[in-house]
Amino acid sequence: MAAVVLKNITKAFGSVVAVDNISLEIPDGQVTALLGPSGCGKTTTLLMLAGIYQPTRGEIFFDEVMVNGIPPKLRNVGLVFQSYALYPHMTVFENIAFPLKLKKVPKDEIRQRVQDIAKVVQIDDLLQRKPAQISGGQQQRVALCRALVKNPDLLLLDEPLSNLDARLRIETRAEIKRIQQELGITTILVTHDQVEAVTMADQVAVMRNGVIQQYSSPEDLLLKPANMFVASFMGDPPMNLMEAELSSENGKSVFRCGSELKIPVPDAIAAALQSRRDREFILGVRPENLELLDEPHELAVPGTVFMVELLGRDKLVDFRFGEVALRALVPADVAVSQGEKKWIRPQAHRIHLFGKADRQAVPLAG
Amino acid sequence: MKRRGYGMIVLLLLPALLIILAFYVVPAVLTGTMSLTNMDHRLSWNFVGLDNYKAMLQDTILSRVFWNTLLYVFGTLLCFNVTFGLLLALATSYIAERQAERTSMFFRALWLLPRFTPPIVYGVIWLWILDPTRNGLLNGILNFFGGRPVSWISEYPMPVIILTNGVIGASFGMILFYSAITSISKEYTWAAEVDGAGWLQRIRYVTLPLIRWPLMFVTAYQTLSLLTSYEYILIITGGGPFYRTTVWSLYAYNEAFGGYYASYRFGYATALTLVLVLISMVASIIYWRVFRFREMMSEPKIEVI
Ligand SMILES: Nc1ncnc2c1ncn2[C@@H]1O[C@H](COP(=O)(O)OP(=O)(O)OP(=O)(O)O)[C@@H](O)[C@H]1O
Ligand SMILES: [Mg+2]
Repeated sequence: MAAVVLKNITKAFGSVVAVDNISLEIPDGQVTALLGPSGCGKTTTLLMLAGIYQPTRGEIFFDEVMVNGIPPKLRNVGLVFQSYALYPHMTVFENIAFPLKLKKVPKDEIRQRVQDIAKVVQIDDLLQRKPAQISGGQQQRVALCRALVKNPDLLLLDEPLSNLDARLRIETRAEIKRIQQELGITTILVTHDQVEAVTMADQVAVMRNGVIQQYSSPEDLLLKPANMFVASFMGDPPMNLMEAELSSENGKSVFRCGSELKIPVPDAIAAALQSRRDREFILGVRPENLELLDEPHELAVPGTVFMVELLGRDKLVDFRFGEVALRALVPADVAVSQGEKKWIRPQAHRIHLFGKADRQAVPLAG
Repeated sequence: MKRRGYGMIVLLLLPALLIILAFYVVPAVLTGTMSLTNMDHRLSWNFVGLDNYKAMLQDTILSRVFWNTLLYVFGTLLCFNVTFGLLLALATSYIAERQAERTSMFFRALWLLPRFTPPIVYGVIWLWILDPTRNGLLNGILNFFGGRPVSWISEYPMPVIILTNGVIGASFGMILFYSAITSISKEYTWAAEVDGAGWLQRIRYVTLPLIRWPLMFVTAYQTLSLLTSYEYILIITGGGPFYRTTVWSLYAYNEAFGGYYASYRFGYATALTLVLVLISMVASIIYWRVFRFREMMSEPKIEVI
């Protein structure tokens, strides 16, 4: 097991900067997710941890030992590739046994350890097949076995679930989590799926264009997004985001969003904004933090339902205020129909504000 | 409808059929017929039945030629066309992997040069390199270090023809193996590194098994082409000294066109070539079986998931 530290890591391929000066502290024995859209540098980071790429600048430490320049075979990491990269000419058994064979582990012990690990992920009856003769989900588990069989100090998973169907994904997610906890192995999980990151990881690093946007617990990513990118990237359905200008009307402060929407400012927020010079923000509120009321309320805005969309257990209720749209998420059994008039109240402590220029979160006390 | 489709098929196949007929079937039949005559420089069709084939059984030189052929074909194959070609491919792909693609390309182009050189020029270059006097390149070097000149060609005729053919032949394998190696998905290489394999282990356990089809294909293909190639031998040793480098195809050539032995024995020479065709066929069938080429035909040729 190892705690991992990345210090000012940069990786450039010629003029392309894939990873740009990132620093991370990855605690021992936990799952840390690298989350971000395609091309943001997740795989590159993982391959640097495995020793396949050398960082252009910066240092990597495993348990306080700098590992720059140490080749992959000496790092004792287990790596599961996005494509699994199972050797097609070897049987499942030979694939899993390969790292042990290279370590010259005695044959009997190899057989024992391969069978043990194969049992854990329930592929012990597939050992004599070739990778082409098993399903994608089974291949994924074989790849996991191959990474785990040598008792690595660090387990690196590159989008390990992306090739699985929805049900298998949920099962495998739980399985990986279980194995990880059983073995207490430090795990880094690369994914572009926020649900995967949030459900599996103890902490999540959100990346974009090679830069870490936020590194925090999954809850904080949703509740306290550090900037507008994280706010818009996390959450499904996505957060309502709109330009908002702080102004006052009849002695009360409101956010003017476009020409037709005026959102009353809760007192706590008004107090927090008092010391700021800027008046223009990006306002964000998640669909699940909008309440629909039948009666007027001082913090609610009146609106007419533009469209209702059923999303399984929930309904997405769409309001339009000129060019601005507000979407609210309510339980499916709430009666609401198109054309109906409702009062929309954002939960005061769930309103997010971002600076219009820098797009960074504006601190709101509370 | 159906008949029109059929006519179309015939029409489309016709050009290919005509070409095969004119340039393959007709010559084959002519050769077969000629092998039953004792045609010589007078070019008369004098049928003698199977006499030529019976003569082959009594030809004392032929068994020697047969062993020469085996030694030449498999010697060149093992030393150069497969092994050396593979080494070149591994070396150049290793260089390319280290971000030095131009250097890698340069070396591959260098090894292709002999193939682009006209055979006669190539042969003459080797004659100069191996010249028994001090004017030869090798002997010049030997002389420089105080050694005595060696008559390379007459003392080591078989190694010489294996070397001279191999230097050309290796490039074929090199090109095929190189492209096969570089088309192996990088992730296999990385997986092997993470699993703890060094460079040699990676090649042994991952690279070679993944390029097994190209390896077997080059082996089989080059066997057949070596069986019928004699032009460099003809230029460099002429088959000598005293038949020591005469291979089957060269023997047949000399029987027909060779200036200095008994020659213009067209009947006997065609019988010899027909037997060579038979040997090639047997070799193909053995390879087909042993290498299970049927699988290769029905699968992608390079395994990359
Ligand atoms: N070998 C390379 N040469 C040049 N550019 C590269 C190389 N590898 C990656 N890149 C670039 O670096 C950036 C990050 O790539 P990376 O593979 O790390 O993305 P990723 O976050 O894993 O994306 P995905 O989710 O699509 O796998 C991309 O813009 C990519 O084009
Ligand atoms: Mg990736």
